[in-house]
Amino acid sequence: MMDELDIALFEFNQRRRGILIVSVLLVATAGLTIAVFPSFGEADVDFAELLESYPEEFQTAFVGSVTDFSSLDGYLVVELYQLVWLLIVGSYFAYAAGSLVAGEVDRNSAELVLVRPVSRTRFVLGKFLAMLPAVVIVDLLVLAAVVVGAGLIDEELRFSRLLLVHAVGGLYLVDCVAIGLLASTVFKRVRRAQGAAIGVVFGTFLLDSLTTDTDYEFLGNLSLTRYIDPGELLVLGDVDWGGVAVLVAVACAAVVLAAEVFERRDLS
Amino acid sequence: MPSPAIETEGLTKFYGDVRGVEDLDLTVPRGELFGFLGPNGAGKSTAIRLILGLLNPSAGTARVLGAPIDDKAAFLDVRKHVGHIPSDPQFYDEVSGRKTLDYFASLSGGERREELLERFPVPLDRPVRAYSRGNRQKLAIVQAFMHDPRLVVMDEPTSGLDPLVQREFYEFLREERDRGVSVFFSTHILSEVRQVCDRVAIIREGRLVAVEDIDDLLERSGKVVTFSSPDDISLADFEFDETIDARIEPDGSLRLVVSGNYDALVDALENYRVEDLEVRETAIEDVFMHFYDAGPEGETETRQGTVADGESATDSGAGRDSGPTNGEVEPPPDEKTGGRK
Repeated sequence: MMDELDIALFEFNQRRRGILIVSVLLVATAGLTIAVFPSFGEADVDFAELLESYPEEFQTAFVGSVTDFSSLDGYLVVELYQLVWLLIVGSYFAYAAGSLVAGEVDRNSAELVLVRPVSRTRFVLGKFLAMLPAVVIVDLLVLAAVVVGAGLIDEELRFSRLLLVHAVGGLYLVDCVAIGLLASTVFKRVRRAQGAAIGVVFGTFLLDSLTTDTDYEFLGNLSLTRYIDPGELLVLGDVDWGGVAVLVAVACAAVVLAAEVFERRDLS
Repeated sequence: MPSPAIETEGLTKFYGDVRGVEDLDLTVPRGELFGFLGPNGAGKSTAIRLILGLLNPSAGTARVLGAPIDDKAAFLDVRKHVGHIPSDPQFYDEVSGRKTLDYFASLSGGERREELLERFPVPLDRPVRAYSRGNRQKLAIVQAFMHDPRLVVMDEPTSGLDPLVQREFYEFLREERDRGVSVFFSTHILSEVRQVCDRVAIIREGRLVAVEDIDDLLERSGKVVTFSSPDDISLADFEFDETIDARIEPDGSLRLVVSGNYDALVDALENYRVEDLEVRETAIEDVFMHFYDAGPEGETETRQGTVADGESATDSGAGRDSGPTNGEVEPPPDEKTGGRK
């Protein structure tokens, strides 16, 4: 029996509308971001100088490692991947995953499933799997939007590097889902689970930014964002394989832990 | 001989300091309609959720169709043969009844689905959000029985059903019992116990008070005799061995509960002029109130003697006049009003 796939399919079907809305919003964001790039280049402002006038923490948070954003790739890292993808899309997926298990426990629908010959582990796994197509859909649609958008304004992007940033970026979103899932098994109330999930993703993002280049930089190692650098991926085409390994390990660990927590827990 | 449908040993659940159930030893034989009766808050739902593995016991254990609930593999396997109707079942609001049943069938089978839907029809293509309470309850019945389980555990399954569907459901339960299905269900509706159950376990304040065969219980509970006379009635004339309760009502009439030896009663009546005489069956409320009335916790529990053991068997008065078909114990203020005549 493949209970987890049945559970995943059922959950995914209930989330189709939400995924569609998020996809449309993100495609629109990517399109608009690219659309303003030509006027951004023509404007009589030195953005490098402007950014330097901001506090360093701000730069590390929202600019990342990019130094040149007169080209489209550097610009996209700052405007789309660093801020929108890592912070906003990451937080969204953590939030959405926060209701995976807690939502059913909170509403008491979980018991109709769990009195059947379905183990709690398979239930948790099924819920996790339900979110993977959502990540893939959002990831590919934004990728497509960027490719089409760049073509429309006659800018060149190296497709292989774009693939890299979306591959590792997708993995990062899977981690956010796994963290949301873990919160979803720890907390019985869906609002708390979602709050905790979003808090972890948002909080560690800030932790990374605020501790970079300080004596407390090691604290940033707790952040997922320490293991993904959209600038390096898109502008330089460098993959930090150690970072990728950490992202994979964190996702696996969070899912296993979520299953363990849920196996032992009372259902409200 | 097959293992019992349900067997609990010292099953205990505390939520922090709050007791759910305590030291519950209960055996539900196979192939019976077994009622689980208690007032609201007595621990019925907690016991059911423990038996289904939804809660972890603080102490003790249970076996379901022979599988211990703490043996994960065996218990997982045995759940193929278990159906469940939770109290106030919650489905997926935006999903239609049909897709809800498809989902459950993919997890545990649904070979009897069509047959059940004919008997308990619901608007299959509408989202469950639009279902009435009764329709949701019918959907719960279908999902609980559609994989042809050997044991069905139900938590107040008739709440929200209108009287006709309720009767149909009772009939269905009897048929299932005759096919060998074991049914264990909690209720606080006494008429339901009388109409449906073969046997009943009574729980109060988290502890098992008694397990009784319904027919025995009703037989043993005797008749209520009301008698008025222009003469002064002496209680002593009516204290036979079979007298369960005797008292003089405020209007001077005698109210007597006896279980047999009507000759002695007739002899005793001979000494009086009879103004009015009524003999009726004991309402099941009279019988059960005894268990609920029994003193503070820890004092009277696990007594098996029931009504025959003398003292205030019919003291309570609650529901006495509502007749034997309509009694409830402590009806909650916000439900149970729609479905029952």
